[in-house]
This record gives sequence, C-alpha cells and structure tokens, in this order.
Amino acid sequence: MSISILSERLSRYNKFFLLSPLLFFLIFFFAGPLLWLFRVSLYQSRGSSGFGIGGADGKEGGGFYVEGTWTLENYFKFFQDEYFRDIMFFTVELAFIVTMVTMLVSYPMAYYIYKAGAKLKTFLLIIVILPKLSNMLVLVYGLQILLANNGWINKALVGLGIIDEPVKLVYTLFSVVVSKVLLIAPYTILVITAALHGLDRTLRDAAMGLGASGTRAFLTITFPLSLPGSYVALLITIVWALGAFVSPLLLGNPDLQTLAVEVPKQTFENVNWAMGSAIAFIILGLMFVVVLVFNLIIGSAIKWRTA
Amino acid sequence: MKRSIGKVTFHLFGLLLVTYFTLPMVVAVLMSFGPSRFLRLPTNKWTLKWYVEFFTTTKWMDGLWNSLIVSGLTIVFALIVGMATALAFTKYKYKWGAGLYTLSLTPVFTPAVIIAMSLLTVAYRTGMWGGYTIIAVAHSLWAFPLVIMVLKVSLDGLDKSLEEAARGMGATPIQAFFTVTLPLIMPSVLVGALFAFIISINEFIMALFLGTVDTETLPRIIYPVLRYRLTPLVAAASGVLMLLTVLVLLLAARLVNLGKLVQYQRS
Repeated sequence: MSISILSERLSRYNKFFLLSPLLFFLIFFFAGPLLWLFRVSLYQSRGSSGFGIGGADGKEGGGFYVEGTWTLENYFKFFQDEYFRDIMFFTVELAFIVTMVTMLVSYPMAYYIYKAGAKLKTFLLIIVILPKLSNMLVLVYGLQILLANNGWINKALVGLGIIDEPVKLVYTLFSVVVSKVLLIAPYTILVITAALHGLDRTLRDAAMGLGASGTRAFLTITFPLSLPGSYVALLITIVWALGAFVSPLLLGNPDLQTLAVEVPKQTFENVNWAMGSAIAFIILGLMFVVVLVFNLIIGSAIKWRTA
Repeated sequence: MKRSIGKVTFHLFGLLLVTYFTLPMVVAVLMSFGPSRFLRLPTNKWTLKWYVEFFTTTKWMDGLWNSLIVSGLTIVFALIVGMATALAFTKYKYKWGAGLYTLSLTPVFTPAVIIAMSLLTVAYRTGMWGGYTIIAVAHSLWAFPLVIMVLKVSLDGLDKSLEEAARGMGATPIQAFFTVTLPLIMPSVLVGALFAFIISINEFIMALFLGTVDTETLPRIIYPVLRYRLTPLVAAASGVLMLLTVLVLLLAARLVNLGKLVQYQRS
C-alpha cells in the first residue's frame, strides 16, 4: 500500500471527523433535547391544576411528572383554559407589534448606516451591536430608570410642554415593546445593512443617470432589491418576538405576560415540568405556523407581482 | 430647501436611534456611581460604595467566579465545534453541505427559552443538572455559530497555495495546519473566543433554567434584585459586566475589521 493511498484514506476519514463535534452538539444538545422536550410534554403532570403549587410529593423525579405515562392532557388543558389562551393571543399580538416597530426602526437605520461615511459607519455599527452584546438585564435596568415617572423621558416630555404631568411609561405595553425592539433591532439592522451593501451600486447610478431623482431611484431600485435581505430579518424578528421573555417579565404587568414567561412559571413555581415542556413546544409550533403563513403570503405576493 | 429638510430629519432620526441604543446602558452605569438607594439619577455626589459592596459580598463574588468558569468552558466548546466545522466546510464538499451549514447556524436563532427548557429536561435525565457543563453547553449553542461565521470569512480569504507549499515541502496535513493555517487565522480564532465569552458572561435565560444555587452566574443573581428590590448594587454588577464586555469588544475591534465582517455576513 502506497503512502498516497493511505493519505487519501486519512483525508476521507478526516472529512467526516472534522464534522463530528458539530454533529455531536446538534444531535445531543439541540435536536435530541427538542425531541425529548416533546416526550416530557406528553407525561401526565403531577399538579391538579395549572395554578398554585403542584403536588410535589416525591423528591427525586416524583415531583416533576408521572413516569411512564403518555397523554395529551397538557395540550388539552392548555387549549381549554382561558388563562392560557389569553396568554397565547397576547404573545402573538405582541410579536406582531414588536415586528412592525422593529422593521420600521431597522430599515431606515440600516439605510442611514449604508449612506454614512467610512468613519461614521464603523462608529454606528459598534453602537448598533452594543445592545446585542451587553447584558439584557442591564438594558432593562436602564430602561426601568429612564421610563420611570420621575425619569429623564418624562422630565423631558414635561419640560418640552408635550405633556402636563408625568405619564406612566414603565410596566406598560410601551415599555415592553421598547425593550424588546432594543433586543432584536441590532440584528435586523445588521442584516439589512449587509443586504444594502450587497446591492449592485451601478443600477442606482444608472437610474439616476437616466434622470431619476434620488427618492425615485431609491423607491424603484434600492428598496425593491433590498427586500429579500429584509425578509430574512423579518422572519428572525417574528421568531424572536414570539419567544419574548425578559421584556414582559421585567417591564410588563400581569396582563402583559407571554408564553415564554409561563414556561419557567409552570416548571419551577408549579413544579409541573410536563406543562412547562408542553408550553415550550407550543411556542415552537407557533413559530413554525407564523413563519409558514408568512412564507405563503410573501410567496403569493411575488407570484402576483410577476404574473 | 426641501432636500436639506429631508437631510436634517434623516440625521435627527439617526441621532435619535443612537440615543435609544446607548442611553439605557449609560444610565445603568451612571446609577452605579450615585449615592441614592432609590431610583434617582446622581447629580453631583459620586461614590464607589456600591462597587465596594459588590466586591466584598461573597454572594456576588461567587456569582462572578461562576460566570467566569462557565464562559471559560463556553469558549472551549465553541472553539472546538466552530473551528472543526469552519475547516470542514472550507476544505471539503459535502453532499448535504448547504443544508448542514444552515443547520449549524440555527441554534443562534432559537429563542433562549426553548433551548433552556429542552436542555433542562435532558440535563435532569443525564444528571448534568447542577453542573457548570450544561450551562456552558447551552451558551455554546449560541456561540459556535458565530465562531463558524467569523472563521469561515478568514479561511475563505486565505491563500490556499501557502498550505499547499507547506505540504509540498513534506509537511503532514496536521503540521501544515498548525504551522501555516492556524497562525494566519489566529486573530479570527481570538475574536471568536471573545464573542463566545461576551455571549456567555451576559446570558441570563439559559443560566436561569439550568443553573442551581451552586452554579449561579452573575446575571442570575442580578435578576431577583431587579424584579423585587431595585438597588444600585445591581448597577454596580451591571457596571462590572459592561466593563468586561467593552474591554473584550475593544480587543476584538483591534484584531479584525468589524465592518468587513458585517458586510460579509450577507446571507
């Protein structure tokens, strides 16, 4: 056997060996756990209801769910109980508001960055990434103080004569949306900026050379061409918004709670892991449904435009 | 005239957003230097007493220590997975390559609550619950996709003939990798490690689900204080986290051109 054959074998072995850490993580720590999550959601739960302290009688294993059972009762309970249904509707509602606001903020900002000079661009990019890289609890803390009744925002609004006395801003839908957008927008802005940078500049120049105004060139060339990239940003926004957890928990009120908040509540406060898993799985399902619906709408819109 | 008004509005909008993105952090850090125990921004009196309290309270210091252990482990996991995957995708063609590459990036788009709850059910079964490893594993699910992206950029830009030259002169593939490729991509490897560190040190939701009293990370200790009794001690803890993040970020910015990275990450 010659060396070259040996080396080729080694190389083929290497080809799959290099992928093994990724596959290990994806199978055992990502896909596998998601399947197991579904399994746990099918256990019979110990608690008699979704409220109050569940029957945590046994310490090891006994308290979390009933071993060896297969049942859909958690899902039935979820969809029959008005409490859970309300939370689900609010989760979807919040996701749509957050998505709209995020896109309305992100696109102009991305365009602003795209238009900025080299130095300003680097500065803006760093500013935009910063919230994503910092601790979300730090952001929430800052917002709690800024939006308080005696906070800077209220003082500024009163000082400018826009309002007569401080308005309640914190622990409202407003503060929930403001914080959630702040947590998502860094990503969408980056994606849309990248999409704008990926465009062929000569197209716009050609339109302007043919006499189109700047606004017109933007509306007919730049904007339509940047839509595919923006669509990716939109889908990510919806997925993240449906998983909203910290914003409603720390800047919302009891009427503004989401499914994601309900997961640890069921799991840890009610010691009902089966219900917690079921809700986590329902969030996952919602994400799939919403993304699918959007794909259908966008798909038919493209068909309609090109037809 | 009409044009310049449009321009001014545009710049005002930019300024407004920059304020929106930075002010919460600035305020949080400012609070940590104020003497008041209540939610009042400091005006003329400044103090370091909250930082003294932070660094002398065992609970907070334990939290900082736990955070550092978890992020250290996260760096190791993220680099192993990220480097191997980035190398695999630059060197070889796979049948399901495009799909697998997309799949390798999906964890970073999965909301933390989903990852956390699913890993909790598994950690409970495998006895990993209560250890540092499972938290680091969760964090690396968010970190390794970034390492892959950063390294892919740098590996794609690499001159392939360099490694071939090394091979031609008799180096084994492993030798060629460690003496030629690795030193060339080292800045990106470091940036990947720094990103992994930043993600892990700041991550809260997964740590909330997967941590226990013995493995409480800093954000997990901040959370109840934030929810039930707001004190500037939280601000001091935030200040420490911010300082760590900014230092690491500055280091990263020195190592690579961040703007270039953003423009590459198009898809």
